[in-house]
Amino acid sequence: MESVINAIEYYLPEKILTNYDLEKEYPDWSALRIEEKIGVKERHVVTENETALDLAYAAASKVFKTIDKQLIDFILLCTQSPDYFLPTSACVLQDKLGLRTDIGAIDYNQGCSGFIYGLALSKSLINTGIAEHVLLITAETYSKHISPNDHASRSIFGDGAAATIVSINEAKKIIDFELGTDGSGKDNLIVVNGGLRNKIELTQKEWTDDAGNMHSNNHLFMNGPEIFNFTIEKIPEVVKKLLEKNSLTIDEIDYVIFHQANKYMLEYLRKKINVPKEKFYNNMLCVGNTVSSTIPIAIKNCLDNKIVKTGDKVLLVGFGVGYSWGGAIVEI
Amino acid sequence: MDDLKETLEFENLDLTENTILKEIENYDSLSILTIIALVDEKFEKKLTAKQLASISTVRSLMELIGLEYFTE
Repeated sequence: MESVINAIEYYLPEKILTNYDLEKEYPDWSALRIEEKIGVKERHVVTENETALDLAYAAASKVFKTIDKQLIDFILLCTQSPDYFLPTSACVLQDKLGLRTDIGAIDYNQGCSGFIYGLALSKSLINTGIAEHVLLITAETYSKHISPNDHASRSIFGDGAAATIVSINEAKKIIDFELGTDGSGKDNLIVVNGGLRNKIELTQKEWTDDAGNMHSNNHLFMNGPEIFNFTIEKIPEVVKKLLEKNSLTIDEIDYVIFHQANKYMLEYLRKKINVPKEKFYNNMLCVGNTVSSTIPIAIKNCLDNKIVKTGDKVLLVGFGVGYSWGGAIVEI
Repeated sequence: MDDLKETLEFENLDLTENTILKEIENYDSLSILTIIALVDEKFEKKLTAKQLASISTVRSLMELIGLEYFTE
């Protein structure tokens, strides 16, 4: 039993944070420079009362306009911003969406590599006969982890969710994976407090970096240069291994979609792996880095704009927090 | 030296070995990424964030990369 990506829809929260909004708060942080360098003009952010689960619900509702929700026999929800420590948000979602009760549902905690891991898990569930139609949701609200005074991180990340249906299929469309993990990079993208290792500091210790961004252990911390180093070292290797395993060359790939982390890094990676601009997705202008949803959002946009069509072989690579990474070759 | 100037968009400035990096206009985290990328591409060397945080002048950057690469 093989599998295929059957449908994708995504949902972005209504509130928009523009570069001009950020510039007003931090006059030294130029709106044009943010757009030019980071590649983001605006990003959607949740309000106080909205959570990743709400975004997940909205994305799933969208996809159920074209796919019968009664077909779903497994829910995979990827998030690092769950409603509760327990119960599992996917269980709550099952009820909210009115799905069947004779189905499986789990959350899994992953970030930028989350969609790739979700595809791998979906394929496995279908290959083994455990499920036939998986609702794979990536939903994230990093804005809730970011300090209001960390303008760098606020510029980069956006909130959003994507709902992907992975279905049983005769032909093998989800072809192969190359996964990796290196926990030595854990401190380079982390929210130190709030889990069970370290309590939230009620009297928050704060410090400011050279660029004027405020940090605390209660908030998201990202060491951009270190992550950049990790990415440029690892990702070309992953691409090479994945292609070799499947006896493919990069020229036989119709389109390449990497996790949309930042425009500069993506352009550098594109050149490193030798892919022409027209075959490489680099667009986070109106959404920012939506973590685990960047790849499904990109696929959906490519399909809608006919940049990618049925039968195309697409190379997907997610990488980031963990460190965790994963590459996949799929046929659309 | 010219490569460095161009990549970091510092062409309009009088970049000398003694110029302090952090005092250059528009020198930010993106400039750091650009330096890392440039050194990776041109010299196939890896510079860590820690190393970059420990240097202050253009000369110390050149030393980090390796002075032998900067023969005029």
